[in-house]
Amino acid sequence: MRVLVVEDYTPLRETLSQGLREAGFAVDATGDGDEGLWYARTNDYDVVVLDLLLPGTDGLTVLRRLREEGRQTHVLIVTAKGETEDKIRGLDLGADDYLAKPFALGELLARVRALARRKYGTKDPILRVGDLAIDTVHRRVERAGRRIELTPREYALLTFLAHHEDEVVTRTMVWEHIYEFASTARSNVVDVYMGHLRRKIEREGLPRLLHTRRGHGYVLGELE
Amino acid sequence: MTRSLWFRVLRGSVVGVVLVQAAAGLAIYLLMRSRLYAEFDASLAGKARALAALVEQEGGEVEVDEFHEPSLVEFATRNQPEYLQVWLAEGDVLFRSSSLDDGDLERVRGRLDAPAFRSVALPDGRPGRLAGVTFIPRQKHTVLGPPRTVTLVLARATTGVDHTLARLRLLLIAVCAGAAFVAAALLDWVVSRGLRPASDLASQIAGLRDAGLAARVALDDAPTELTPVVERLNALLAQLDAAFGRERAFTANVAHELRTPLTGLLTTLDLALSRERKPAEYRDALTRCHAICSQMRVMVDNLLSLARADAGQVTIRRQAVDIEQVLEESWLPLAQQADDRGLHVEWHLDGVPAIATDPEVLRLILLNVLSNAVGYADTGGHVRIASSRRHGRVEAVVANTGSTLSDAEAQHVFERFWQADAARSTTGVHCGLGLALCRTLTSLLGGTIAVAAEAGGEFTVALTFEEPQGNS
Repeated sequence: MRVLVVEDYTPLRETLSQGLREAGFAVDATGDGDEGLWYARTNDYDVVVLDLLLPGTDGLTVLRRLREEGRQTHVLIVTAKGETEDKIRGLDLGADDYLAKPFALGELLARVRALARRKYGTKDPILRVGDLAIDTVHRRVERAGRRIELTPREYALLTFLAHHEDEVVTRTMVWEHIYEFASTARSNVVDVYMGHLRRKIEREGLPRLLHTRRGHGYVLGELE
Repeated sequence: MTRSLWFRVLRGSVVGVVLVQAAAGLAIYLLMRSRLYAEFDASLAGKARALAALVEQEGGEVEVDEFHEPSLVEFATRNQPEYLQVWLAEGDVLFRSSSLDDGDLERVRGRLDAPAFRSVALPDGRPGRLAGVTFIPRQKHTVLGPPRTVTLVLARATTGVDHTLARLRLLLIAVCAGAAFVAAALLDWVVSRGLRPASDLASQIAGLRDAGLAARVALDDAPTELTPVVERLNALLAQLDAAFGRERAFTANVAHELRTPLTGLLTTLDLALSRERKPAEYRDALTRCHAICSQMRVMVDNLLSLARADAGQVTIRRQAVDIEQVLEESWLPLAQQADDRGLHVEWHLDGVPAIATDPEVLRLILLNVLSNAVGYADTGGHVRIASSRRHGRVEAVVANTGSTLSDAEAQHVFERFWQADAARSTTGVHCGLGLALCRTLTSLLGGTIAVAAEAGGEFTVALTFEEPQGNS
């Protein structure tokens, strides 16, 4: 899951980014409206957390431009303007949710998760692939009733694959949704993480769940 | 009631009308009276002359035989008689009409062509007038005696004249009273109508509420006396409206400016507490929180300073202050930030003389101005700090390149919470309070602060202070 945070107050931007990363999201962040718009146009983010008062292009304009260009990115507006009129204006312009400052980190994470689920058309916070269960709220993964410990990046990779159950996921897709813009990781890093993930979820003779499609990518699912 | 404009104008007008009417009535009355009495006197004089013609002298004797004729019945009757008495020059009474019984009339002497008149009380008690003539009677026959002088006094009641005058008085009073009532009614209508704009104004003002300060007083066809009132009132309303608007915006802005750093604090703490962490991570979170709190403190300090300055609670302790030294000291905490932003700093200090001012207040002003310059200069741009002395004034100038404001926009920077665009970098210092505070404090110090700007060019803040007397 990849999230863009557009917030001009640096301490808040840094905290939100770190909180989202720890929650398993790949995060890009900027404090400038123009830059935010450029990021949102360049990448297919699962959720954009958008402040309204920004230097450069303001939040509502960023939102309107994105919608005018037909982008369906889920947008969560966060702003210190708690006025009902602003909420209505934001939602009418195509925002998916609205959060007024001050808010708790937990609430923001919950809303971002809810928007991310909506992107993949599911409302159940627990993703299931065969006997594999991913609790996206508590970030717990179990297979056949046994807990599996994953690093944040492995977890992000697994959730992304689970959202695309039984579909071929290319390395580029993984790259775009798991890695941050500023990341310097090389392309074969996807294969390395796939290897780590497979070892953790398929140990002790459990049936194969993560399949490799040579020349195409990977598929998570119980095939035949 | 007695204090109402309507009552005062009405009372004044009615009293005026009544006084004029009374004066006119009195004049008419006095004219009529003197006229009636003149006629009365003329008739009395005519009769006195006629009677005098009846007095004859025969030899040495004066005869008044004709007076005993029954044709002169008015002197004999008991019912509203006239009175006649004739004296010889020696004082002997020659004739006394029977209506006098044994009484006497006052012996007044006038000439035949100009009798003497008196107003008297008649023996029967009625008011009357008497006319007296002194003359030498006509000599009868040819036997002439020495001429004798005779005085004849005739008295007659003025009842008729008095009665007419009484009726005239009544009539005049009735006319005056009636006219006063009619005038009062008419004036009431005229005054009420004339005062309608005033009462309109009063009811409109009574209808004003502080919530509806956008309302303005509008008088159709306002009289010239009320035009300045209405204009001034509307101007005041507009000022009040603006002041209330600023007040509301101020409160909203304070709330807004505090919410963002508060969210920063909350989420940073939430994040730190979300799981077990290494001590270094906790330290990092605490450091971040500390930085946020410091920024909030700057804003709260600025707000409090403004509030105190507004309430006149800032005490100014003047002493000789080297403004260049304060500039250099205020720069120290900002030097690192300026370095980080790659700013080129130019100093042009002229060695200006000391000014008499409060060093702490001046430091607060300069810190704000310098911090703005560092914060708003374009990355890698220039900051110019200069001092100079001109026309008995000491000037400190702080300028930065990369102004996003035009000169017209820049004139707003002293308004509280004013920001060039809706976007604001919430750093606590640059939340639109700093320069508002600077202006308030500078005016407390007796100096002036002015800005000049050129979009894309320099943004300049100039502080000017008077040099102390005798220091030139």
